[in-house]
Amino acid sequence: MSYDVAVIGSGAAGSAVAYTLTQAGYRVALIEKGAYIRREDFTKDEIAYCRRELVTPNYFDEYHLIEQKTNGKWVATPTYESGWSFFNGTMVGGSSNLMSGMFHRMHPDDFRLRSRFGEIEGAEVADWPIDYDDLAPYYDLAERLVGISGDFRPHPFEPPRKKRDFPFPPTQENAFSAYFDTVCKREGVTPLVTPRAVLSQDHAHRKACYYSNFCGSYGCSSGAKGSGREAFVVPAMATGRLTLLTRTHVVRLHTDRPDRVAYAETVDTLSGKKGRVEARLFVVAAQAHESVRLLLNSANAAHPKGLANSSGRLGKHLVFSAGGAIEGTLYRKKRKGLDFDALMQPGLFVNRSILDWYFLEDWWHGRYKGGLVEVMFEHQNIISRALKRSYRDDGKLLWGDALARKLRREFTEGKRIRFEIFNDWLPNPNCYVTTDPAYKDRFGMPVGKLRIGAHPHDMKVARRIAEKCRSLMEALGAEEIVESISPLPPQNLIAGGCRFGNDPRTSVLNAECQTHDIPNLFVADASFMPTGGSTPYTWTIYANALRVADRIVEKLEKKEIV
Amino acid sequence: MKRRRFLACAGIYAALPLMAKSGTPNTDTPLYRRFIAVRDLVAAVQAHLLPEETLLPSARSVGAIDFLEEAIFHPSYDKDIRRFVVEGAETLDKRTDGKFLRFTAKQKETALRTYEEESYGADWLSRIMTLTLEGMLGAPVYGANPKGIAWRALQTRGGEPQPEARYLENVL
Repeated sequence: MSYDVAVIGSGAAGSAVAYTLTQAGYRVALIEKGAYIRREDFTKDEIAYCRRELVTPNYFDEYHLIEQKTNGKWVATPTYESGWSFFNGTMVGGSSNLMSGMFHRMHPDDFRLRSRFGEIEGAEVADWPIDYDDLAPYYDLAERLVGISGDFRPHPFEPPRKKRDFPFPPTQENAFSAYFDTVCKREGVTPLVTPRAVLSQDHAHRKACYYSNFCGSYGCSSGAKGSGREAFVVPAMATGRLTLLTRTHVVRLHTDRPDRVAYAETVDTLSGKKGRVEARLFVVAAQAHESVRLLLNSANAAHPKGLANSSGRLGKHLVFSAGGAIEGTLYRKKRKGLDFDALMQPGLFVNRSILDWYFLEDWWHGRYKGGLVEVMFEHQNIISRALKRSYRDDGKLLWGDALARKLRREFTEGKRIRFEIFNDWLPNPNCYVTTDPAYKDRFGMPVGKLRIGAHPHDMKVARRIAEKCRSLMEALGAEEIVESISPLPPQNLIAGGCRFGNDPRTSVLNAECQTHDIPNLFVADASFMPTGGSTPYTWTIYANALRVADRIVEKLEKKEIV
Repeated sequence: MKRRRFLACAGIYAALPLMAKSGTPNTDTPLYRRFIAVRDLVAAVQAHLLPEETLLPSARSVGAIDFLEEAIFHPSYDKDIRRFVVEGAETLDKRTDGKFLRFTAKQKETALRTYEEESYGADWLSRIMTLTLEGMLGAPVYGANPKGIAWRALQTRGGEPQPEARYLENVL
């Protein structure tokens, strides 16, 4: 069967593109490697979702090679050796099902980092070919369609908004939030209410948050979380124009002439049966590194280096979120402005972030880019909390009565507070995706080889912000403060690899995320981003996917693509 | 990070996942028969790690060994770690001349702390602790946290809804 558009990957980007196109009347095939998990089947099963990670691929069947510098040499290790994977939520809606939903827009200066702050030696920073004003209407649209709750507070570093109010009031907050505000005020810090892609009220087919106490890493069983599945796939299916192909993996894209993709070669992940999906236009949105892999693996005589790779830049400029975390515990004691029992009440959100250090300045470096701090409680997973605490100070295992006493104390007499730091991961020559023909997945295709090298500047910025976080943590009265600032990237914030730009010699995509080389091939996931900003990406991914989808509709209507 | 090192991180990192294609534990194997030979020893180690009369339910009272057996032979479990659990128990058995089960609590403590001095033994004990706490603090449907008894002991609770089947067997 032939479709108007085939979208590969049903995560945040793919789902938003499919939604827009079906609303516009086009027949869309949404191809997803994973299963469709119904809302009511999203249980809070720590063993299944977090310990065994049953919604990501079997590491022996599908994996990456990850290159790290060890003793001065780049050493590649497969996932089945290291356990290190960048697969996130292989199911309809992708990893957006599992997010915590802390949403931030990028700042206008994030779109012009190079021209605003100048070059940094050893980095490959580029300005975006669009600016904040181009994306702002789509941030607004995503806010409405995804359903973002929040409470706008003016801040000098807050990106401009057309409307002050968010579509929904903030989700309910723990008593800690008011205490945090008080301490911040005393310390000269301006806390913001974190915009959150979680409904505080029923809306359309979705129910309000029921404060389960387990949000990130789990799917939402009320539909409150603004996953691509809830916000876009469900309404797209209601149009009758969406064909959802689950458990279907695209192994290769085929061209019938140099400037046109004709069909996607697929394989059923359960039966192994091969198939093809034909369409007038293809949108790749398989997650940054996997989108690159698909294009590299689709090399043919006309495109010997991979589809859309005439520039030789496909896979380059991979970025993550740099930073780390700092944690401390508030133990039971009399504390002005915070009742301990209220602090221990489960389920309610902290909903606070700090934007004060998004830009930094000192006499030596001048003004430079900093980052965002997200404030939260330690993840409530019970098994992992217990395991973290099952060691003595000397690193030996704790057991018996001593373990039981420690766990009881840690679970009942204290609450661990966590600050997560997000700052720019500078694109650099040692961070990219390739493939290695010697390592193949169960479908016979070369796996992605990710070289992960961080620029030293990222750590400097993170440490500077961590110093400020530590002071604030101490002011809160937290004890046992631990910092983990590291050049290792988080598993779930990955972008770049198909950088967009105006020059086909230096970029893979044009400003509309259409490949420079093949007019009916677009890439809509986070791989387009030249820089990642200093925020979680999801709102930006949603907004850009909605923007790209509008451009696709225009092209289809004008019959620029036939 | 090399695989041995990864196995050593049992206490902090999640066990390696494999996609569960079937809920049937793989028990008709030589490795399973080897496990059965050391099953009582593993249960005794669990009982020493989480004994009677502490603030937590004991490993024995909740049947932590039943969870461990099902967990490691479930298709979702890493095959190398499965083998490691069995081989580590066999090593302990050999080190204690097959007498571990008859040891006093004090002798068991000495044997395990001595085993822990070697990185292999430390990794194995950490893995057994992980499997024990996974069962005791996991969803009640897995069997080793009946009616959430261990959650209540820690004055906490799992999120809602709780699963009605193990390993997403009614979902994937």
